[in-house]
Amino acid sequence: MNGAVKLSGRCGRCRISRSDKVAGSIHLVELEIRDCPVDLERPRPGQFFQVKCADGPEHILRRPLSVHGITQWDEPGHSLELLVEDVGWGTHRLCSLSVGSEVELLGPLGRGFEMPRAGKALLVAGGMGIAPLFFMAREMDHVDAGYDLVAGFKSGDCAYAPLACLKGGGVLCTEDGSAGEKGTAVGKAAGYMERSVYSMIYVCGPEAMMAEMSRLAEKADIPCQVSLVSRMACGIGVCRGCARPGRNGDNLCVCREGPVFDSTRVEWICVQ
Amino acid sequence: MVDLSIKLAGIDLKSPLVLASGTAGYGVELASICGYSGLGAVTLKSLTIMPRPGNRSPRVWETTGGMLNSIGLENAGVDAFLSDFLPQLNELGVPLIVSIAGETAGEYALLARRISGAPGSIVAIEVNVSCPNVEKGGLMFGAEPQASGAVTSAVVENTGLPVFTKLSASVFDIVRIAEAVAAAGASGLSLINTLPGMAINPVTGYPRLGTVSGGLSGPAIKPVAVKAVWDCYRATGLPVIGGGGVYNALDVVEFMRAGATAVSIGTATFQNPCRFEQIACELPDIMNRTGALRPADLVGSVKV
Repeated sequence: MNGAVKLSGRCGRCRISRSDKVAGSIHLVELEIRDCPVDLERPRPGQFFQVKCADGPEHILRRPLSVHGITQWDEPGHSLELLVEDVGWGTHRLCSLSVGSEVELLGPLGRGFEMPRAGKALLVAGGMGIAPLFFMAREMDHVDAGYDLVAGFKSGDCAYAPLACLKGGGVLCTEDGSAGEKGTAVGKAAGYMERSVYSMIYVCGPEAMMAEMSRLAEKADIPCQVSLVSRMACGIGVCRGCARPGRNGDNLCVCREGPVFDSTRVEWICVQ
Repeated sequence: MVDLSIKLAGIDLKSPLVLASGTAGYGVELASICGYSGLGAVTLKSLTIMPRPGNRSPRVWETTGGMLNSIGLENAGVDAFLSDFLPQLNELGVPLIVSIAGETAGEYALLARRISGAPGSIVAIEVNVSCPNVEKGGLMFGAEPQASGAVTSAVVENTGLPVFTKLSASVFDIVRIAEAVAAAGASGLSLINTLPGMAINPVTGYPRLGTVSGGLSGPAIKPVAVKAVWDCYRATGLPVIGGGGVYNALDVVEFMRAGATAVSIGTATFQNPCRFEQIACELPDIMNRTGALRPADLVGSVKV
């Protein structure tokens, strides 16, 4: 994951073909690419789109949303799935848009996960971190790569992980035990690491959870890729709004060099 | 047929549209997503002598009609810029305005010398005076006329390039500062920098920015910027690169009416990296509606 990234993002308008509330405040928004005037590049797991939630000068910044899935990308009528949590003005508006509404996308942007070359992978998702890792699991299914997926949530009312449609092994857990098994994503992942041998660990979730998973991976000497979350403005590396410290005294530009980084490059920020 | 070309402090530019410092990176990033057609010049993010890591995150927060930022002048330093970015930029052929920021007047002078000796597309220097003056207890240079003039002089004496001093409108009397900068030999003014602002998460009580407060930009600050351009243009007669919340071609013409020779597009680039191209397409039609044949016809034409 070194070297310069060629920027591939392009703007295009897409039509919402489906918008369903799948859990708590989480919506699955499907965008039809068919009428999009610009050919969007095929996104890779971990990449994101900058989504314009409204036209006009009142709300200037786009919202960076990770790709949750793609369908029939190389055929007419292909679509893109975004998992959106209704947490503020922009995401609320996006979740409120009805089927048929148009949305402008910029992307796909950033650097995604690298596929494992061999062996079995462990995918560990916390909360909305399921969005890119579910996409990763489906892409691994396409190439018959082996993996286990741990999807952890606070409670059942905000849990969304349709594991049944995946080929790999996996478990859904909640901290309060109200859905799936009781326990945290990190706790379950540690159990998996004791029972199986993994060649790569992929993590996306809250900062503290990713920090803990990175420590476990580094202790076990397993390469670990983490997908970071950072507030951003441009999404293409010009404003440096998303930059955060790296472990080697450098800065990590999350939107352009990431959002996926090797865990050994990340300086974890203490979570209050 | 509208002719968009302008002469800005002796520089011939094919368009009055300029990308604002800090919203176009080092100029190479946007070039890979949109061409630079329709653009007069790109102002690069401020350079300092040594590399700067910038501020702690979060560094950005959206507000109604704008955003707050506290990037903290993160940049690679002037030497890395000259060796790593300028050669690529020279190949693009777009005129460059290089923004510089220092902690002492001597640092500004040194930066001006380093920039002036560089080959290629650099057509002007923009002096970012919204930086703490470490020799004067950290007060921002741009907060008072004498320091603004001193920094401008330091740059003017060390370059043959036109010098535009970028002023903050968050001062007691921007006209006095503009006059001091004019007296110090500035070729023109760049107006305005971000305004100080702050946002708090009402539920958790934490500030939205890692540095507690930051700079407000975007359409919300446009009326403040238009007045600053009008006041400074009228008082000094210097050419002005005007901007602050420019969103469309109507805004561009509004700034010209207030006295801007060139108009900078900043935060709007974050909504759409190719926004300037759309504005460049809309501009001839808007100018036609005013009866103007060229941008110069509109400069300072507000009917008061």
